[in-house]
Amino acid sequence: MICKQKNLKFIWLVMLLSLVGMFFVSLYGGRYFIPPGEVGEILSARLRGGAQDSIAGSVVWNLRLPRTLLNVLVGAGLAIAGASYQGIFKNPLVSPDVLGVSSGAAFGAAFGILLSGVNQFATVLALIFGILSVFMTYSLSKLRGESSTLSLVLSGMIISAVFSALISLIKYVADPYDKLPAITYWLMGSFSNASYSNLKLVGVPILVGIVGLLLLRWRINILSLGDEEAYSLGINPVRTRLVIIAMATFVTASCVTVTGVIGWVGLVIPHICRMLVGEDHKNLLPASCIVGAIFMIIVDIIARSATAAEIPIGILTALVGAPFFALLFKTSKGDWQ
Amino acid sequence: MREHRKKSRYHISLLLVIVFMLSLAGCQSSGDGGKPAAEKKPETRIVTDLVGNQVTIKANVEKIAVVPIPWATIVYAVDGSGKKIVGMHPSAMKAYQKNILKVMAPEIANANSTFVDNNFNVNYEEVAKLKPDLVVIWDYQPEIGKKLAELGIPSVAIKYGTLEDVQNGIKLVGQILDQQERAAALIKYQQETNSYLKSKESTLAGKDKPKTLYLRDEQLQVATGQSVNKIMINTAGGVNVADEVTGDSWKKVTMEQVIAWNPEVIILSNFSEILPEDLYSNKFSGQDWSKIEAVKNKKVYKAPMGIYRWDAPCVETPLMIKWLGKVFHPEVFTDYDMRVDLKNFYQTYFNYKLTDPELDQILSSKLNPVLKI
Repeated sequence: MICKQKNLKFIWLVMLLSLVGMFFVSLYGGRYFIPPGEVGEILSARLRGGAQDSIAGSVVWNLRLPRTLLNVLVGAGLAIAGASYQGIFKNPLVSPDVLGVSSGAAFGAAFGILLSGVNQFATVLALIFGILSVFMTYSLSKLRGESSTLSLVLSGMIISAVFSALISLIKYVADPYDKLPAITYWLMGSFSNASYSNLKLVGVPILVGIVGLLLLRWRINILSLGDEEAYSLGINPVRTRLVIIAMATFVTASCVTVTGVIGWVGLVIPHICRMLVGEDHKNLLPASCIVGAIFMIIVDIIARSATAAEIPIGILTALVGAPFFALLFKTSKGDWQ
Repeated sequence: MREHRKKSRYHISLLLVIVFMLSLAGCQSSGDGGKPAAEKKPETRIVTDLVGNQVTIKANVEKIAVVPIPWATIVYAVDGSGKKIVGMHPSAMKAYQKNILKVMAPEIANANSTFVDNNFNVNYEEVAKLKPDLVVIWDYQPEIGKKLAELGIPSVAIKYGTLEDVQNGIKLVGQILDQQERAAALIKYQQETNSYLKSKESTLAGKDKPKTLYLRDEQLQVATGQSVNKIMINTAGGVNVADEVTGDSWKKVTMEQVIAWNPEVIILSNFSEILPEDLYSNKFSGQDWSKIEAVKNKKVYKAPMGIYRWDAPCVETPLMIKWLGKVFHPEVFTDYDMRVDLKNFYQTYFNYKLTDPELDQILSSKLNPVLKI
């Protein structure tokens, strides 16, 4: 694919502007009506250090801003993790859940909610089990004495299946009035508990992971040429692959930890980006970050504003993502190796 | 290698044989309990349940298993005792364990709460073991009714929703237990409450109706325009802020929506452990209650729980409405003494003398210090 440089610059500009634009749309829109001028005032007053103690101020500063920031972080994190996985596994159908991260983290959170309700304990447990599940997947694939992509993916399926069953078990024993709704909502994903303390908790790991993946994006290009090529270029493909998988996993687990399970983002966004900026991971990874963030902001605006009741975001991403994926599947049949 | 494989095959088949034998033994032990039922044909009679089914039941019903969560306590209230309750929902059992009914009716503690699971799936073998004369089910569970019929166990369906549904259910339970008088008395109490509230209608018409949010849990599930709680709030002279939400009794909303509603009173349900203090101290991540009128004025109240959670339609629903009236318009309900009424109610219908600490426990007085009810 010959990407015209000029065209590419234009695309970058549009993406960045849309991100900034959507960010502000998200701060301006919602169920509680605030005149647009007032939102600007609140923001500038807050940024200058003066706290306005009004309802509108609280809505913009304590609810919409942390939520939008979390949208950006999680959208970017899930999308870049997805793009990295797809590059590493040389398989466009791979997504962050393939190594069992999502189901592991989901189990951790469900278990935490069952034990002590929705709180930081559940969050930490989600993170622990998310990472543990990938570790288990990796160890399982090692049992075969080889570390091929196929054995990793198969091991991931096994671990996912086990954790899914355990989630069902927890849902089965959970109190239907008290704990079950919390678990169910969590499994459908939601940004409703976005707050500055949550941002602090997962912001750093997600950002570190994203920056790490961005720095390593050249190596994904090299890995996609094949292991022998990589060796000849002085790169240990096995170790590099591991580092990238670990980072992508860490990002995914951190995202899932606060927002619950949000599917399809890591799968669909990289594909959109491939159409926009091409296959080169040098461009693909940063583009995935930006588009993922834009997508997440838009979907969450719908989730929190469309009706008085909140729509679980996992339902929306699946409803938007799956048909889109089907469309991609139909139109780009020749492109996937 | 081959030798090893042979060996493991041998082990597996041995294991299978053992499992098979064990399962046979299991069938044996549960099977021989079922025989004597056919010996003598018991007398029967026919009742009509709330979906219009004609159900043939034993003339003298001794054992009832109850699937719908609030209805075990309705059976208790109508019968004046929990002796006949052999099975109830695990969540009902959980409520029982922590409320006053445990003191009033210790016999219920022996009831089986495993024949139905949290998702309302019935374990038919467990029911067969319980051998109830009758199972009470929801109106939307005809399949369960059919399956039970195949086991030879009759079932009656009751409805959920309005207060009339509750009254019809009480009447039906009265017929089943041959306690028509007690059932009629309970219904009469409900109707008396209605006319009492009617008498207040004209006074309430001139009053500001407090905007009320009925909050179920920290997930921000609220009572919608289709909930029984909306009816309770309206009858007591309030307005449910979440009327525009429909689709189910409880729905999850956003904090921003709650701020847009800005309720003046918040009632917290007993379906979760949520407390007024949680909102006052802004404990929940992603929620900001500090600007809400009800929180600023310390008008967040924990709902009472008597023999069951007052948040759901039950025999104590009339008391709940009057409690809400006291919360919304204390100056209108000056002639109503909640404590006396509650004491009389428990004395009359449950033959139980409430102590003052027990009264405070029911009314969540410690959690609602400003109410002074």
